[in-house]
Amino acid sequence: MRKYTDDEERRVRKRSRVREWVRSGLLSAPQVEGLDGELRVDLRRTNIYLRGTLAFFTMLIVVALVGFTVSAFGLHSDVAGATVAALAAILCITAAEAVVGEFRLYRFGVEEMLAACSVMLLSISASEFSHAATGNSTSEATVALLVAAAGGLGLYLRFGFVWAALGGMCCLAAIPFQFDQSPAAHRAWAAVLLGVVFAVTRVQRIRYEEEWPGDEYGVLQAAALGGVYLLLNVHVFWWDRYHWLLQQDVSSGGFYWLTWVLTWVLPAVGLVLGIREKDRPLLAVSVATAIVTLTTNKPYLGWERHTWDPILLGVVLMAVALGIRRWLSRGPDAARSGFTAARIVLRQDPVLSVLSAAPLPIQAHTHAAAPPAATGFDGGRSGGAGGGGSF
Amino acid sequence: MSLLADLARWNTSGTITDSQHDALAALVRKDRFSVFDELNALLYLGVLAFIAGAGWTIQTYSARLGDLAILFTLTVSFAGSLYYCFARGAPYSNSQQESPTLAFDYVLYLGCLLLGLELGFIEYRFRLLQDSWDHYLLLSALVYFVLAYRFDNRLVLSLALSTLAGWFGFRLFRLQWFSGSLRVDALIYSALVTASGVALHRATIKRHFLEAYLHVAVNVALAAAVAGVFERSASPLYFLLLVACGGASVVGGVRFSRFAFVAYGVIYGYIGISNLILRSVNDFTAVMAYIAISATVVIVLLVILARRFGRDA
Repeated sequence: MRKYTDDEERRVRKRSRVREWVRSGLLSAPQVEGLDGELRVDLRRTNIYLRGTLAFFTMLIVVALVGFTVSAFGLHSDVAGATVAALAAILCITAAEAVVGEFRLYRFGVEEMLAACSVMLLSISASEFSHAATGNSTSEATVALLVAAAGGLGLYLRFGFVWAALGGMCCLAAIPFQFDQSPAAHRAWAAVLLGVVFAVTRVQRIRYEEEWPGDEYGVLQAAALGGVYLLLNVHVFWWDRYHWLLQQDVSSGGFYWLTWVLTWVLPAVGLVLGIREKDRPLLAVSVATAIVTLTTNKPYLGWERHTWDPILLGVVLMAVALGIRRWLSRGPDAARSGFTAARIVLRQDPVLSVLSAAPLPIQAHTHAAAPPAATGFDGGRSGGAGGGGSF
Repeated sequence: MSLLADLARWNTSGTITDSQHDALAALVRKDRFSVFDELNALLYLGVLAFIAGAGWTIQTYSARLGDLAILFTLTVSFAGSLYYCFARGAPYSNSQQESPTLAFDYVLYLGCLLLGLELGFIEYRFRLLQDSWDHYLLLSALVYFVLAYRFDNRLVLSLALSTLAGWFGFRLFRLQWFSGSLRVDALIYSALVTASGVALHRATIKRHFLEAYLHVAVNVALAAAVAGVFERSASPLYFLLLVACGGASVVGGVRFSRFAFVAYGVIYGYIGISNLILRSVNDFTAVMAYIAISATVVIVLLVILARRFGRDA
């Protein structure tokens, strides 16, 4: 089913991990040279900037070609537009298959955008056909979302695009909102759908752990949990006064209080699982949702919000961070149960080097001088977080 | 084969030492799991929440709290953060320095944001500089630059660069941004930031800050040039400037393997040039044909570049 073999996917990740270790000084460059042949994969990649730029221009080409066809041949009716979109979708996915097969592209931007465009065009086409057949706007939107959700899943299964699966999850969660039901039912059904996604991805995550494709399932599992939380916290979209996003909303009753309980339970469950399994995506999502719970608790209970609430939140966050750091660094070898506040590896994320120009707590990789080849985890001084002890 | 099995094999073959094997296997098994990034993110969010709350509280309760109480609290907080940094920080060095503690960078950042809040409050309440209130921005930018270099703090450097941009009249939320003199201001700002960054880099003073300078400067210059190209009454020099800056960004990005700059040059350049070409074209079909053909040309060129500078998986 996958366009890339299991061996290729594993090698890509191993190679990336080994490079990370070299940057962090845990391996030396000459050592890795010896492994180069073993880790080499016959795939073409590019850096994230060219990848993004290539994706952008690929999208321009697809949009322009569709627009040109519709305009040049005067295909302005619904059915004609839907047919053009369907044909373009087929061409896009065929082209994506071809460039991956022929040129062995892997996360190159071009094939990703072609695949994404194919799903979007197919969704538009299905929606237009549905509109022409039924004249019903509800079924039109539902069909579009269904196709997009299935398409996202399909792209993930075929090419391993995690972002496509995430997009598909969003579309899936939006489907219940198309039906004429109560706001509580909308949220409940959407949460159930994402809950199923969470359960399925969790089973796979437990099965594979960190090894591919476990890393992908880890991201999907965390995203599904975050999605369930966002759907059930009725005070998250507080700025949506005109109900553009969620139409009407839940403000009282049993469902309302059930969601209040769940806004506390879900982050707690995520944190417990994340800490127990040392699952980074799950930890990140759980911490984020816990912070959201703290900020939305007052509106939930109908309590007055004070201007100093953010000050208290800030103090709590800083105190928690410093408390955890202190507690961990006082453990044996500056760690407790394997958790440490020290930086061990220097991850390379080129996006971070761009964001490092913004006032965000991000250190560009280029800033960090890799420590000399080490025999263990001697570091821990980076950022001052570590206890400085060796491992 | 799992990574653990690979590590064992590499150890057996002598590619990696026993201690390396033990250390790396511990990472793979998650026997050693760093929460460094997560703690940093919590601290950063904490600082932002604190500042947002402080600003909101001052705005709402300034009359009840009294000017003196507010100024005293903000001044003492700023002084306290400076005292902490000077007391805990290492002596100044031109090279990159590690933060002595996890909280160090964020204490300084918080102090700088409190200074900004205090200056804003002083102007709001007392209007000392009246129409020249922009000079508060210059003053705070200078303080931020000094502190950023003294304590090797990139967060504060970014704050300094954005505050300096504010002083130059580069205010994103102004409705008529990039009209007339604002565009020139942006170009002067960009030139100044580039020159400062390069000069300091050449003087081997905090060389690792250069990229932050260049990201800001290149984006501002190219955005100003594109805005000039979009405005039909503006000087044609903007087009030449766009081509020159875009070209320099691409060439420099390729030469120094900083591909974000390649992306900036290509995207801004394409938008500006396309605007110029399509200015007199009113036919939708022709516009679509142009985009399809020109984007294909760009892709081909980028693919050639990517094949040359790309990486194997």
